[in-house]
Amino acid sequence: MTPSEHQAAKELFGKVLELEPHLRALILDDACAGRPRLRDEVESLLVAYQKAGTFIDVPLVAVTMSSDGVSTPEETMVGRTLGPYHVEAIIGEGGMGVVYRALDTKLNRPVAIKVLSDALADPSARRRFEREAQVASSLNHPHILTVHDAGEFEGRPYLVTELVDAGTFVEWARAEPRSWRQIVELLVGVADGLATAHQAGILHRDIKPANILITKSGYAKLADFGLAKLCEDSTPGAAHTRTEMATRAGTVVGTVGYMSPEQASGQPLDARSDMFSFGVVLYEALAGRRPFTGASDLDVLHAVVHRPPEPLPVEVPRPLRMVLERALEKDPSDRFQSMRDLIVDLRRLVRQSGEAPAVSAVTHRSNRSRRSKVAIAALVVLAAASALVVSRFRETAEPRLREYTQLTNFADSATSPTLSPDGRMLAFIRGESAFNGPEQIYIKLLLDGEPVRLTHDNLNKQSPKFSPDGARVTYGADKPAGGWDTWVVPVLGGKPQLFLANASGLTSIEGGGGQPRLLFSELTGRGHQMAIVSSTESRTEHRTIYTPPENGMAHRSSLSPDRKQVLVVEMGLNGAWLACRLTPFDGSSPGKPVGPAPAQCTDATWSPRGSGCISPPIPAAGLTSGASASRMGRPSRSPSV
Amino acid sequence: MVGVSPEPVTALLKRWRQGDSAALEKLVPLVYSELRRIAARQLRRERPNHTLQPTALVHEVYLKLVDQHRIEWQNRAQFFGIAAQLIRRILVDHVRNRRTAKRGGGTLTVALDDAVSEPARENIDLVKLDDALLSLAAKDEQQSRVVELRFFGGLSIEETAEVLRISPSTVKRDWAAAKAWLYRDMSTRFSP
Repeated sequence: MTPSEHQAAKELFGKVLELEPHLRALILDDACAGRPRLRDEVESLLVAYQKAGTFIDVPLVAVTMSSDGVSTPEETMVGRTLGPYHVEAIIGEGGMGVVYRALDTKLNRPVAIKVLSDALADPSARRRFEREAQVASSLNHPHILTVHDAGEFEGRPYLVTELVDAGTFVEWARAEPRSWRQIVELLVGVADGLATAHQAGILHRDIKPANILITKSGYAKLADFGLAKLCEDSTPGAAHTRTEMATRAGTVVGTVGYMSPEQASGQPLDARSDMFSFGVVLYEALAGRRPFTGASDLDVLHAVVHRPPEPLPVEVPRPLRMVLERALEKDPSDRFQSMRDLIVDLRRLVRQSGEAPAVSAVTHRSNRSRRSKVAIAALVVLAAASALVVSRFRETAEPRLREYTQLTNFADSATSPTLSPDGRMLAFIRGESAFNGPEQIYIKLLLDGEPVRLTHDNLNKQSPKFSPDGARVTYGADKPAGGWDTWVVPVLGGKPQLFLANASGLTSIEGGGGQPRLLFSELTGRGHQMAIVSSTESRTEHRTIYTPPENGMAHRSSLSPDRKQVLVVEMGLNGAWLACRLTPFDGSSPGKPVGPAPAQCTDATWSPRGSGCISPPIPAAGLTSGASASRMGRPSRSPSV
Repeated sequence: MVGVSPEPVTALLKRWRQGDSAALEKLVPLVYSELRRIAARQLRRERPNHTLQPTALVHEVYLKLVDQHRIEWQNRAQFFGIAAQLIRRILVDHVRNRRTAKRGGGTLTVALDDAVSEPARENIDLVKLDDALLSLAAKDEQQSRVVELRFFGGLSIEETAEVLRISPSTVKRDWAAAKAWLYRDMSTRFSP
């Protein structure tokens, strides 16, 4: 490689490094047409860059240049190192302090660091800050900003959180016109996070659009737990004083607008105060204006305490208006009694109004459409390797795999991926084995949520699946005496419960009249023979769909969208995977093997259009993990069966 | 070398920044000899494992040679720029010598700053990095300087840009590409 070739590769590498994989591929295609050496070099550098991690990021000599009187402490923090965090840039400044973007050199991931301003850093404030940080970090919820760490730098406490840098709810709402459904769907996640915090005895006290952060993939995260409390407590007289302060300073007018009547009048607060503030945020997003307005902060407070909210526009569905009216009642005892009650109503609204949200969003050209593409990409490739890769394809007549995003990055395997019904969450098994090992169930918000572990026992597990409402994950687990049971665990965490005995490979399917039914495998009682059956949750209306010969084991099954056929994944007499089988749902015949032959079919599912998708045969299933996720091979599949 | 007064170094840094390249030729030996002197003292005084503490080393030299009140941050960046180059020489020689002395025992005996995280403490073979940097310099001198300033000198992106008189975005790009290039070079290089 000559110096000029090196230069060309360097330039191109710099150009594409920060791009999304598909854009990266487009630019490379364009720039490297007829120059394969250049492309090889750039791709090799990209792979090396990923592998390099924090290699040489931490300098051998830590130069501190703070002796200079010219630069402010804020400026000098950039480029400095706080513990394992290398501070890169300022991303925000607020009353509480400065927020930096930083690199966690231990885990090689970007983080946000909020450094408290000097004014709030007296010893008792610091103790409270640390305690609150601890409490907030115990709130493990996909819609609450994850607190990684807390520490102290030159006497000032700091909080390390996940980095969410696609703006706040304010920008999200302004970016383009949003339908009421989009708004409710986004905020129901926040409500869920808030409900979880309330159950843990924690109030937020400062719910407002600026405290709702939006991730690049379009999820909302509630931030600043505890900070509001700290702010109150650091001045005597708590909430009331804070109101006066805010009014005097004239800088936090927004916050006044989101206060509950009890907050505005200095009364004791409970979870219903947060509910009121949440209601104001939802109201404002729907109406484009706040429910309580006034010429001055004092007028606003007066309106909050005494005046009913101004009516919502008629475009907002009536049931939603009613929900909001109730959340914004002056007397806390007239509101919903918990965020959970509010959430139930919001969810019902979304569910009852027409088609499934994930599908309706396909036409929107926004972050949401990206997410829903993930949702309809029912083809989730089973990877018998250390990484999960979801393929996303365009909504065209013939879906084509065109983009790969690496979703997990563990030293061991992540297998049996499955998407939640709304396409926002991924569940999978993490551990050594690719099938039925002593592994743990994890979930993760797509695309960039932290993986969350749901199970902690030593049972062998397989085939996690979401419940139809996306709130629980079922999975098969070994019985010590032989055979399998199906267990269920809430996605928000909790103790797994036995869901159905002698059942594995379970999926929930839509039964007649909106009643959920189950499709699963059970031991027939004759040796190892396992049949595919369907029943209700209480095992009534039990019906056999497919019984393999003798000791054959039908492990997994998937019902076609038209409810007429079932794709079956089975093992033969010697325990080897067979080709997939397509069998009628009514059980009228054993059906026939389908898909590429000879094949060992380990998993099968349907695309929304009804063409079956079959996992690659085992020898080809090992998708490589690591940096080259954007260039992974195309798995074999049968386009239609 | 005892009794170097702060004035000459501070003045030389200023002259150099104003474009007097002869100033650099006088600066380097001054800084180098002071670095060596303090490094030698560190090694004598320190625990039996002969540990060098680069940060302490550079800071001590800096405090000794540069008049804190008469220097701007650009001059300071330039000082650390020179120090980066010299530190690289001293540290790599140090590791090489120890390796020879201990028949190939490759343990790194350079103490990294306390703030440095555990993973960063491991696995950076300074001799290998030095070799890789030499190869890189043959293709792209500027890239190798960026790495020297940032890794051996601890300079920020902005300070590196100031020393090399290039834009911070160029520093960023050169840094990322060099990191990838060096990592690849070092992981494919035969290690003795």
